[in-house]
Formats: sequence, C-alpha cells, structure tokens
Amino acid sequence: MPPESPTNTPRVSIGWAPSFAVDVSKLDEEIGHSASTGILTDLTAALGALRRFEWDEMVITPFGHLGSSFQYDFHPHYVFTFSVLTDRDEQKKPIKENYILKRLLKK
Amino acid sequence: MQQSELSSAPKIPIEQPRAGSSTDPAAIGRSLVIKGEVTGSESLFIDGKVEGAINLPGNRVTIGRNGIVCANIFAREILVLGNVQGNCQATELIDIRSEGSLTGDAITARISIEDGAIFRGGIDIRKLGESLVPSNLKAPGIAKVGSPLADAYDAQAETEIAEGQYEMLDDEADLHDLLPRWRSGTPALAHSRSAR
Repeated sequence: MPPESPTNTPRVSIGWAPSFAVDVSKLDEEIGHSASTGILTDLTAALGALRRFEWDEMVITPFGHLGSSFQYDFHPHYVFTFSVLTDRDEQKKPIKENYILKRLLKK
Repeated sequence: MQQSELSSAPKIPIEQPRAGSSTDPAAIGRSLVIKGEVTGSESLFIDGKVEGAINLPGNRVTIGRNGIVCANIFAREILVLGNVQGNCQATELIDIRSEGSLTGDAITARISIEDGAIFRGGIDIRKLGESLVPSNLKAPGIAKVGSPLADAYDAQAETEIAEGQYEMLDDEADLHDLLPRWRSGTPALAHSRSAR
C-alpha cells in the first residue's frame, strides 16, 4: 500500500543511507564503471517517478518486516530498497515524504 | 556473592510503564497477544505474548516477567525478565536477568547474564557501532533479494536511518547529481528532518 499522499502540494525528498553508497561502489567493482552507470541511470529515472509521487504497485512492493520499507523493481537484474519517513505538521497531516534508499540488491 | 554475571556490562534499568506519561515506553499488557510484526521508533515493554518479529532499531525492548516472546528481536537494548524464543540483535546491550530465559542467538556489543538466568544459544560480541551483519554472512558483492545476507544488510541500513546517518538530496537538485555523490564515498553526517 502506498504511503499517504501529502496534502495539497505533494513533496517528495530523496535520501540515501551510507549502506546504499557502499552498494554503488560494489556495483562499480563487479560490473565496471560504464555498465554500472547505465544501471544507475535507470535507477535515477525510477527516483524521478518517485519524486513525482508516481507509486506503481507493479514495481513497488513491500520489503521485509517493516511496514515502511519497500522494494523498487527498476531493472531486469537489480532492485533497490527504500524506507519512507513522513514529515507531519502540528495537526499530524503529512506534509512531506522522505524516501531513503537503503540497499541495491540483485534479483 | 549474591549474583554473578557473564560480563561487567551495566544493567538496564527496568522501566515499568505508567499510564498518562508520554515518556514511558509503550506497553503490551499481560492479557494481550500480538501475532505479526512490531515496528516503530519508541521503546516497548512487553508483558503479554508476541509472535512474529520485533524491529525497534535505536530503542529499548523490555520483556517483562510475564512476557512471552516468540520472535526475532532487533533493538538498541534488550532486557529479558520473561521468556524469549528467537534471535536477539542489539546494537548496545542484551541484559538477561535471573528470572529471564532466552533461547536463541545473541548478537550484541555487550551482554549481561545474571546468575540463575536461562540462556541457550550462541553469543556473537561486536564492537560498539560495528555492523550487526553476521560475520559468516559477509560477502564482497551485492546481496541477492531473499537471501539472509539481504535481510541482514537491510537491518544494517535501517539502523543507519534510525540513527540519522543518511543524506538528503536538495529538493531542487538534479537527480543525476546523485551518481557522483554516491561514488564520492563521503560519509553521511547525522541528519535530522525538520518535522516528523
């Protein structure tokens, strides 16, 4: 189930955990910088969709035990996982979604 | 000596939940049974029964004297006065008191097992702040979805996020700016969002 849509003006921010940057380094080492750049370009395109608050349940599915954790199937051979943190105003209404990238995983 | 301990790790003070105070831990009462996954960002006192998984990175989980937990627990501190069956991972301390029982493996920076406590399982002591990814699961490559390594890596990333160790891209920035930043290897600074 997608996170709550922030009211009025949807805002989505993208972040990443140190573990995700480590996985990017691993990807560079495993397949080379050039091939890795192609995959990461696909990944940024997926992030662009998230930024536009496009939540495609065909490619975004729950991941793991945490209800706020999801898996994005962005490439034939790779997925990334991310957590959703919601900023709320004083009335507890969502005002901003923060999508924090966690890991890059092989299928 | 009244009691002996496996280590000199400090004890975790027992925080009994009291009604009406926002600073006390959330509580699962004696008559409550929860089957599923417990997640969140606050400490928890369990005096009932929980089956499933407990993921409270950065917080304390206390299993009270009446508590029965059949679940893997991931938290900052785990205090066991009741009965736990499952693997426990704590970034700081696992404290098993004399009336407590833990059946499962313990991965933690520090552990205290009081005289009379029951413990059946393995202990993996890590340095404070060290990754909780089991050493036998470490691999140089990217983990595969569904593998134990992927689950352990994910828990590691969750801990980083819970501790505020993440970076945010400026809302107006081009997404293509991300690639050089990911590759720069600049360590993330503790981050706090403006509102929650």
